[in-house]
Amino acid sequence: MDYNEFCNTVRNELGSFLLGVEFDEITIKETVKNNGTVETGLMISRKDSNIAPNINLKEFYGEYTNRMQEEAYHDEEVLHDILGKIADTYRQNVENMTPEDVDILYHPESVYENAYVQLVNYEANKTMLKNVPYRKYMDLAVIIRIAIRDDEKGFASAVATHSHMAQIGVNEKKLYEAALENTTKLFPPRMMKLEEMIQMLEPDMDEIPETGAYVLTNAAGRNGAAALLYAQEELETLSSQSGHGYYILPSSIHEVLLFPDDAGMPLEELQYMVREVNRTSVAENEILSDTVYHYDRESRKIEMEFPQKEVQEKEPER
Amino acid sequence: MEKITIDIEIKTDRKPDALQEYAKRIAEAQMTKTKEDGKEEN
Repeated sequence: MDYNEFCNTVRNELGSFLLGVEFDEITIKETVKNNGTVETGLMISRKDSNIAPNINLKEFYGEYTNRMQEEAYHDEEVLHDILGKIADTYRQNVENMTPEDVDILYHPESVYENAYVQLVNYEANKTMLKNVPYRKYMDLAVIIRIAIRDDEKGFASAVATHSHMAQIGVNEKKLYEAALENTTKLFPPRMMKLEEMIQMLEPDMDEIPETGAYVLTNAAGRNGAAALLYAQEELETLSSQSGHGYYILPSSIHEVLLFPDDAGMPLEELQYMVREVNRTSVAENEILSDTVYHYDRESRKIEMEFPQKEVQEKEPER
Repeated sequence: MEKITIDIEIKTDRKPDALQEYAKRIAEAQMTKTKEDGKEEN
């Protein structure tokens, strides 16, 4: 069963797994996500509700294909399990949403309280950026999301858009300031050696080479590249202890690497490395940039390094 | 008011594929540099 067939089957058969759940329509919708990638999402909507929950089916299709490769399973059995899991995901994340959870989206004060920032590529998201408040940061853009739920089952959030913010009377300048402040508290920076981070994510792995590189992310490990915006203290401490600056390699939207600038590695080689790893080992919707940045020990500033300096543009006035 | 899309993310364990690739490539580049430095000294 290919991905399209899988999505259509889920749409047609999920209803019987949602007994007792009030809904009017189950639809498959293609949504433009980070870097302009298109994801097929499942929308289970009610006419009397202004929210449209979007569940990405890719993870579920991945599980379906993995299990189908194991000979012990039959198509119907696997599909039944997967449909049950999708229904559970909906129940746990959406049906259990209290009116207060959804209310977050309709009141300026709760939007300010639950806003946080996300760092994305500017060029690759130009179309999306027309509709959302953002700040330009070198060749990147800082966008704002509103957190609705975050528990062991999953995470629900919505991107702040111009139309939504205008409708509920949110001031975009104030929103950005609140989002940045919230992010430093909700997602404090985390810095550790590259080897330690790999070991933490993949405990069975052995023989990880020592590189001298560090990983900067946040405590949640999700959208951690945004820590660049507020990890001044961590960067200053690392830099003053080691006595040199750092090249910043944008490994994904989830984290960046810090590599000593006195290690004798040519900048061009680092640039090539970032491009290659982005093309071969990072999901398209998780790529942050092909640019290498630099943290200067003396000035304590982060700047873009070769190339792409020409990308600097004036932010549109609002 | 237009419908607001809520993105639901299921928590999954992240695989450090890209980080491993960086570790491998950096280590290789460092090894090459050490060898070249050694040749120059000789």
